[in-house]
Amino acid sequence: MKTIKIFISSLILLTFVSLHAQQKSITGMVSSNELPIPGVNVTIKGTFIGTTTDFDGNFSLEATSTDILIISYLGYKNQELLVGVNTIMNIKLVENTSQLDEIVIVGYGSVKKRDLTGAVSVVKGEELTKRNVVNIQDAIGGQLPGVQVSSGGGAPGAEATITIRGFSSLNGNGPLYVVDDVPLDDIGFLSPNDVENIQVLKDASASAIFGSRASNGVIIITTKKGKVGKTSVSLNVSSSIQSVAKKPEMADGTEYAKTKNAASINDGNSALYADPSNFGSGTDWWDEITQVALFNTAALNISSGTEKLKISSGFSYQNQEGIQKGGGFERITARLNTEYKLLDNLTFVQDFNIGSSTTINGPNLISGVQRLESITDPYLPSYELSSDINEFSIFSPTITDVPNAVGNLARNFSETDYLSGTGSISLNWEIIEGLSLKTHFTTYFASYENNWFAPNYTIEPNDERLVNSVSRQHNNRTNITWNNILTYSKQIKEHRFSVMGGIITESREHRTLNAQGLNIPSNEPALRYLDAGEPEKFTASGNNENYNLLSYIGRLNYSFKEKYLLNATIRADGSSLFPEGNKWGIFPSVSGAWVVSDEDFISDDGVISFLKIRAGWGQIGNDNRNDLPVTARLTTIVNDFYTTGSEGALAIGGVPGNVGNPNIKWETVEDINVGIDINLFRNKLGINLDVYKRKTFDMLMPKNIPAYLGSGYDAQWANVGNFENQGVDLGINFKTQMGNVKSNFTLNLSHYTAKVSNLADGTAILDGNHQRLNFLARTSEGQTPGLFYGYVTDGVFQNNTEINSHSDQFGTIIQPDAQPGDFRFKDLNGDGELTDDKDREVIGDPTPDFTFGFKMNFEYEKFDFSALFRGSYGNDMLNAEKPYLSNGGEIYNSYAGTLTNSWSGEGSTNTEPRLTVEDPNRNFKYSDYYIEDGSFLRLQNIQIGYNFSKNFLNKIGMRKARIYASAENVFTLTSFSGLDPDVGGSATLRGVEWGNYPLPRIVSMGLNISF
Amino acid sequence: MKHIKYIIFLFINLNIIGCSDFIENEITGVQTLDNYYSNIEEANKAILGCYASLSPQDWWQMDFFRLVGDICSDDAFKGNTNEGDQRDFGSLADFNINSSNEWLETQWRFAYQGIFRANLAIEKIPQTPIEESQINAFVAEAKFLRGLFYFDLVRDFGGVPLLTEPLSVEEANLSRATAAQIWAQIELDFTDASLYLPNKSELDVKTIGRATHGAAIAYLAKALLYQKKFIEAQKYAEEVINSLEYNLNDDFAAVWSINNPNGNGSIFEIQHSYNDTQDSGSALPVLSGSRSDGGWGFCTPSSHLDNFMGNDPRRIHTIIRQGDNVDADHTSYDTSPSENMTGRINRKYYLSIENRAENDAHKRSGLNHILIRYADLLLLHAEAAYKNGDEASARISLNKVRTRVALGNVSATGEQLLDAIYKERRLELAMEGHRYYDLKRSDRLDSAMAAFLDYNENTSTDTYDAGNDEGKFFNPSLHIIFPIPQSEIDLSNGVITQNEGY
Repeated sequence: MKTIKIFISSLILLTFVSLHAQQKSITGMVSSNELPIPGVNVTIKGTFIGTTTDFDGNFSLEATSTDILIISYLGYKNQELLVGVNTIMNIKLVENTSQLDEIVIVGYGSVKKRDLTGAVSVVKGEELTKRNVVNIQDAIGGQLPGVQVSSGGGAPGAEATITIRGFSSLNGNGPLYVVDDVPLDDIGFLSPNDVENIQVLKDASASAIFGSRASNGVIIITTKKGKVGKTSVSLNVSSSIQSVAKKPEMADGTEYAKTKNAASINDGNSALYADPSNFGSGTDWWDEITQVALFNTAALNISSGTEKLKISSGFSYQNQEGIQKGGGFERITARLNTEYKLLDNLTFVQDFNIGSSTTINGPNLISGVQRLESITDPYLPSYELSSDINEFSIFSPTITDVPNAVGNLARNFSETDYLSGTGSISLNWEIIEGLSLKTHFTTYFASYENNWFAPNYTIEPNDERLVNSVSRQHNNRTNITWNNILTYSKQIKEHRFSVMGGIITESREHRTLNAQGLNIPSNEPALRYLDAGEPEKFTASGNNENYNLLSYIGRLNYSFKEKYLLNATIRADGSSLFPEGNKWGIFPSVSGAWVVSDEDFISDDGVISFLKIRAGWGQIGNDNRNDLPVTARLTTIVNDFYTTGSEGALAIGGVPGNVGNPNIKWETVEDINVGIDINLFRNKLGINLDVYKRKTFDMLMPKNIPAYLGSGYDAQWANVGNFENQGVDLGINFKTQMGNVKSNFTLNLSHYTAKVSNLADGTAILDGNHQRLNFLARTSEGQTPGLFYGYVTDGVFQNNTEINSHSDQFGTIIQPDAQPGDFRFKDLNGDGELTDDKDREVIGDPTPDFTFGFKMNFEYEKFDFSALFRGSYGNDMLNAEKPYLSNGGEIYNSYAGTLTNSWSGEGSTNTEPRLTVEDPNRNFKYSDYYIEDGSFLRLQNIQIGYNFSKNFLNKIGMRKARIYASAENVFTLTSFSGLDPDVGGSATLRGVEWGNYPLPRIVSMGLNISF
Repeated sequence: MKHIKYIIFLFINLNIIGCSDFIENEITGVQTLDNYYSNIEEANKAILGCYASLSPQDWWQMDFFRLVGDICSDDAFKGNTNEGDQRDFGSLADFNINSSNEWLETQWRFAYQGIFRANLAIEKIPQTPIEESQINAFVAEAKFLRGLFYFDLVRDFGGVPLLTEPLSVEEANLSRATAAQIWAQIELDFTDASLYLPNKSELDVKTIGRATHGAAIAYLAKALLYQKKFIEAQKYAEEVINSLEYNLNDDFAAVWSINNPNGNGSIFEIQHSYNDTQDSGSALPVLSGSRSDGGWGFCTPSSHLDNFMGNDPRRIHTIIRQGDNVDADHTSYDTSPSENMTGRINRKYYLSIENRAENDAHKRSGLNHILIRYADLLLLHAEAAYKNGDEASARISLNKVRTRVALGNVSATGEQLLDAIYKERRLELAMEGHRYYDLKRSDRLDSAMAAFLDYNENTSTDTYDAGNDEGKFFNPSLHIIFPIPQSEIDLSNGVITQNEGY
């Protein structure tokens, strides 16, 4: 080992020796651990000339004495050797097993990757910085098996939502974020450039140590730390253009008028518009409110270190405009991490992170802008504008109940300033050898301020505001966490074990304040503050909310001969959210693994480089602290008003404000995970397969209760039942090298099925109350949650004979109000009529058969190229706009082509009904007409980069410089009629696209530089 | 060894820090139910909360439903010609009714909210440490309101779940009681309430508008009449008449006037007042106002009603026609005919500009909503008396109402007297939300709707609503009752059954 190093370094020192450039024949053998290696690439640097070693590890090629040979083979460290005076070169390669020796953070401790017993996936920080996204969550999508990222919408600064292994509950399925051992819900103060790596803990045995919220998986983020070595500086900048990825095709002015005329005529009334072509193409509302938008980022990281002091700091800036006008996001982040080695056994670490952002909140216009009739101009004609008209009243009234979108945009003033971050100190004391105590104190703070103003204006009686109003909301959060962990590790001969015990306290306070004023003297910007409001017309509210969690944790790691691994944890949690008697829960876990490849019966020939079988079981408690209101266990009294007396004075009444539950308690998630990790062919091919089953007991969620109990629209938080989820995660990674082209392919596949095994009182949970369709999704006992439930269509009646023959066994006509062109609905129970409770059934399932991600990286000389595909297959979706936009009889606009696609006579179509305003047959009630296939394949990211040569870099004093071009959300293949099939949702309501702000397509150029 | 001592010391300290008080948090900023009803102020607030369910916080909650009695009859149309605007409201007017109609759901939900609040008060206030008489007075108010809410429910939906005490979520597995059982509870509640409620004349400036003895008896009479228990109905109606608490001294024009709240003829009205910051009041003036006059144009009077009223002196106080001289600011009223099915506007809910809400996004105003008034009671009395064969008393009550508007006495007998009474009801109470219920309880809905459709489609020559076929879906066997909201049936897992035919 050492001799090779000296050999290589002395060769490199001779680089500048100029020798006669004469071709000669070079031969040699490449081996590792005394074994020859076939297929190794031997190439001449800077050329395409090269060869590979044969079955015995031998190679030969022609080269000059100034040539440098590059010897490379995946799974081994590369070597570069100057030919020099040699004609025979025997090369010994060193295995690149650093992957398995990597340290993985597992929570209040760390282990080597090979020693993991749970299901853990890792994303390196560099993978995140390649993507031009604002938030870390967006960069993870498609890269890890079992980790599903669905867009949070394309609004500037919006965060994607992550679900790990599907759903474990009907409520609140987001994972826990842990940043440097501190559990957090908000990671908005971190930029992707601050991340060293991300570990995702997927099963209970891995995440049990974190307790509450970890039941949905844990995302451990480790930020960059200083390393011993000279100061390094890196700078990443990029500039992007964002545009609308898919524009909805709506009927233009003429088609709108023609469609409404046709519908009216079908009902036996006269046409509404005498001459539709007068309207021409009318208004394209979508174009009016969207734009091409810019997105710029810059990030700087500096780190340095000596034995005694290590420092790492980072800064970033992002500025994103919205593709819908009137929205924007700007953020600055900064961090500083320092580690002092005070004594040999005492280390002090200090960490500060802060992020400050400003979001201009645009109004939600997407559903409205599709519905607006195209025959109306956005602005009033100039002859209707008087000289003193209010600037917010210059917009045309609309025919529908949707307010004029351009007017809506103009009068939207809402800005959010958000400051958040963490400050922490920790002390690590190695008391005696093997025994260490760590105390870690962190404060997370967040200050949220929103300023909102609504001007007064008049467009029409249904769209006006006579009194302007201003409000300011200011909320503060402070979370204080204090961990005290004592760890003891020891190795006795072949036994290695480590024991950990700890006390964790967490204290959270949320302070809210909101004030609103009315009747500012004018709409001008300088007066949009509470001070300008009319006295005696102010309303204000504010409160404190506290939450405390106390936990005792313990863990044992044991390994025997480095081959047989055992891990056990136990955690006792007490939460302030639950009533007396239900506050505490105890949650254990245990897991084990067997490194089969270390056994003697597995040969060392490199076919099976690594084989590990692992299994784990665990229980985690979840108090739903981010969703469960602190008042859930009690019934509160709130104000309602009634007038009494001859003065007509408003008096305050006291009424129940929620439905309390005095029996509420911990939700428990229990899971079993069995996994296998295989690396084959000298680590060229890696396969990770996990099979899991997860059960949730006493799920906590709001429950719709019968209206006759009298709580208005309030739901009750209760432990509503049990949930089961099982599935498979598969990750395959393949590396290969052909000539000078290195390539790396990764495929992730995830499949899960979920079932609500028990609902407290058996009643189905209905979710997604749609104005036209009522409840969209139903969650019933024994079934997958969130199923779509409605009528079943069976073609379109082509003539009266068909209507009359659609009858039950007694000849009763099932749909007597139908006319030719109306939908035929199935009479599922055969009773001769269509009723809501007897003739509806499950018509769709939003659960995908599988979701996948496919990534490929190529490296060739100075170029690199990568592409990331992701998608979903077999999931049903519902476009919540379709009841309005596919219904030509509605007053709203419709999709282009609705007129020509609708039924216009016998035989014209069997899938689209006739146009009608009155719709006596109720063609547009909730049926499978609205259920579509939501399968999609998306090219999420494509990137090509160029690394400047070492010569060039040396001249300008840089260590690395890369220029790249990339695109995000390049194309999506899907048959879904909505704007974007990638919508998340909750367990009880998902797969519904509901006026979501669509994701933009982003095209970027950027530069990565390091010194 | 030393080190181990330090460690133990540290851990003991940490344990002291981590003791269980740490996870006891109190709730801040709100009171809770378990310690409410502890004094007279809280008891009073609880009762006010029961009243508040009559007029929930937002225009879309109950106000629209108060128009149902007019649109589901020959008195009014949906109004707004825009089909997509308030589609469910239009469906009701059209009798194209299905169980997902949002207005049926809000009526159900808020009536039960009132019942729940009343049940809580009836259960808890007797434990409040206050005078017995005070307890009885509060409980009586709660019972009166509970009777009122069940009255709305039973005449809309028929038999419904009957709750006389607050139920917890675990106990909730009720099926529908029969209509008879609901009526019995209503009668019981109004009777109990009447024992402890004060008379209207005993109320002071602070309490005027709250429930009274007369209101309880009047509602009792009405409930009995709905059940066709004519003898008792007449008896209780007479009790109200003889109490001399109410009279017809107010001019007809002043009956529905924002400047005459709780007037001489008002037996019980929902109290409203305008308030900028709390968004309170009644939205009815805006809901029914002309679209050219800051209104939304719903529930507009039909030409059928207009023709029926003819030259009756009450017509100009009930209907505003296109071009009418209404007040100083509206000398030629524009009912916005292109957006108004009938070219007419309800005069009773109309407010002149100085009485309207000055500034408010929802434009709610202080016009009280009369639920029952003296003229209504007199006509109920007349009807009950007639059915009991006491035509003389019937004629006296009937003629009192006519005299107020300077109409001559009616001297008819037999069938003609009953017709006259029915006719007078329509003339006196038009556009106040009664017509559908009056027609249906006296088994006249079928013939009235048939006549209405025939008029509209065949004989009407009105400029605006001739040919309007709203109501063509009317089904006599079905539409005497509304369907139970589908969401309630779904949530009950079928324990609650739907009305026949829906």
